[in-house]
Amino acid sequence: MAPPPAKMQEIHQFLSSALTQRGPSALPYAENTKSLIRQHLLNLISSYTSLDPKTATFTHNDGRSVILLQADGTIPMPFQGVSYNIPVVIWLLESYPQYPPCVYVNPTRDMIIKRPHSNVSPSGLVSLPYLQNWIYPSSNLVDLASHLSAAFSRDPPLYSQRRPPPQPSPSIGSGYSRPLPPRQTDDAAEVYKKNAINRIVEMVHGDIVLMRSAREVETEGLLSLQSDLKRREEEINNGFKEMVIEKETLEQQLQVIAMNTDVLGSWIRENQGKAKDLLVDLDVDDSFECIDSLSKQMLECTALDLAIEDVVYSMDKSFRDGSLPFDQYLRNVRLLSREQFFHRATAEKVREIQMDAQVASIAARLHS
Amino acid sequence: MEVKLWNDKREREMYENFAELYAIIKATEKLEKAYIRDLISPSEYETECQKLIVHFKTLSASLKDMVPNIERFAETYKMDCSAAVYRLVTSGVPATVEHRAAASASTSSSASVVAECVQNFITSMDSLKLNMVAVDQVYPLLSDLSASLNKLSILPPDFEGKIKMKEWLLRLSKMGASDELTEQQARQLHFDLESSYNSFMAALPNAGN
Repeated sequence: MAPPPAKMQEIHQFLSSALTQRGPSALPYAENTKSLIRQHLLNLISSYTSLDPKTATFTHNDGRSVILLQADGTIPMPFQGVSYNIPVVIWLLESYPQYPPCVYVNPTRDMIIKRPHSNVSPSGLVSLPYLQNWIYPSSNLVDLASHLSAAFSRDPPLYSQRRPPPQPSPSIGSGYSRPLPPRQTDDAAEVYKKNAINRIVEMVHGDIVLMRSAREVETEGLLSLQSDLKRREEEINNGFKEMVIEKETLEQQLQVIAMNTDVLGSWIRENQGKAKDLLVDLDVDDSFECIDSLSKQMLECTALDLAIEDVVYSMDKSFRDGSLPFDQYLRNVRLLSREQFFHRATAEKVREIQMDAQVASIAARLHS
Repeated sequence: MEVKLWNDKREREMYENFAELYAIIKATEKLEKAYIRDLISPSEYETECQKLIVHFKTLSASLKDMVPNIERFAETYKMDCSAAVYRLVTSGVPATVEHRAAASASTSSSASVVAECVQNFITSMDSLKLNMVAVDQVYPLLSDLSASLNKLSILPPDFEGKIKMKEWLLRLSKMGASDELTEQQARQLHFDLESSYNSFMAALPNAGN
């Protein structure tokens, strides 16, 4: 009987989200095998609707916990004309599908694993020739389920826990009553042991989950601390480089200053003797002299121009302060400006003549 | 050998005129600065400025051949007198005269808007008296009146007439074109128009003159 489309759609969505998980909750399967894993599971559920794909935490024998895909449910076991359902869990280990999955018979509370069984260990682990001869990529889950069903039909692995029979009457044959006590004792001990083991496993699993959470938090803290330290190291390195560069710059400046000091020292030594020859009554106005008459005239005109400018500026201040009447102010501004023009125009003319003279001398020099 | 600025009488006359032009421009610059700094009265400024402008126009006319461009002249002799050049060359009248002309222009346009407002008030009130109470008849009149009131800058933003007209326009815009004002609404609108008109006349400056 094919499963209803709604269920298949739901299983599709579940598998898609599970297999595309990223980060810490990602499933540990090789990326290139995920599509095959999906196909195997979908084919299995199509043929055996009593099985459901799930994700759960699997604890390896060495203590590692890992989240894996599993197919959980029952497999039909036809036996003596009646079809029974054997509860199983098919774990897809990290190495699946290159290596076979791990199959456990998962008895309910009122079921007991047959001891001994040719295919099922006391802990429920199933061993089959099909599993031992697993070949990638031809081996698959549908064939596995078929082999499980056939093997279980030949030799059922589970039976119900029966209530203790009524007290045997003495009249019943002694052969029948003799084996009862050891079976009863074995059954009870087995159940208790299994329950104890289950409880211990659950406790250990819970503890491991808590420890894992604590370790993850601790690890994240250490990782952030590491990134802080790395950033600080970078800052210190940059600061150190800057200081080295600054030191080099300062050393260069020091060299320049030392050189300049030497130059000035030399100049002082050369000119120290000349100071004695200077006249005491040095005339400042004669210290500098114009090279020719045009330059002298230029100097005069410029000086007069600027002098008038200063006078006008002073008059501006006087007028602003109110110590100079407006009509006087404006009349004097006009008179001084008129005089200033003559000086400015003369300077302009001298400049033109000097320029012409320069051009002529350059031309003469080139010609000669 | 020193350089002489001029070599003959004609050349000397030219430089004398140049000096006078230079002095006028400089003096005008100082005058503008004094007026701006409020160091002289407007009348004092106007008198002196008129004199300088007349001197400048007379002199520049006679120097037209030698000084075709005043800006070039100012640049040649390194004068920083932009205010004077504007006053003498571009404006041609004292600042007081220039600004008074601008104020007059503003006043004349204001007068025309006032006349427009009065006309719109009277038209609106007369239309209501003639029993023109349909929305498509009343709305354009109130719209024109509101627009002209808004154009008048002497009225305050919260002027009674502006607010009332805005309210009525809003009310009319919610009615259909063929809808008519009730007798009560028509009387209320006429009352609002009349009181707004009275407030408007009271707000006009020198209404009594």
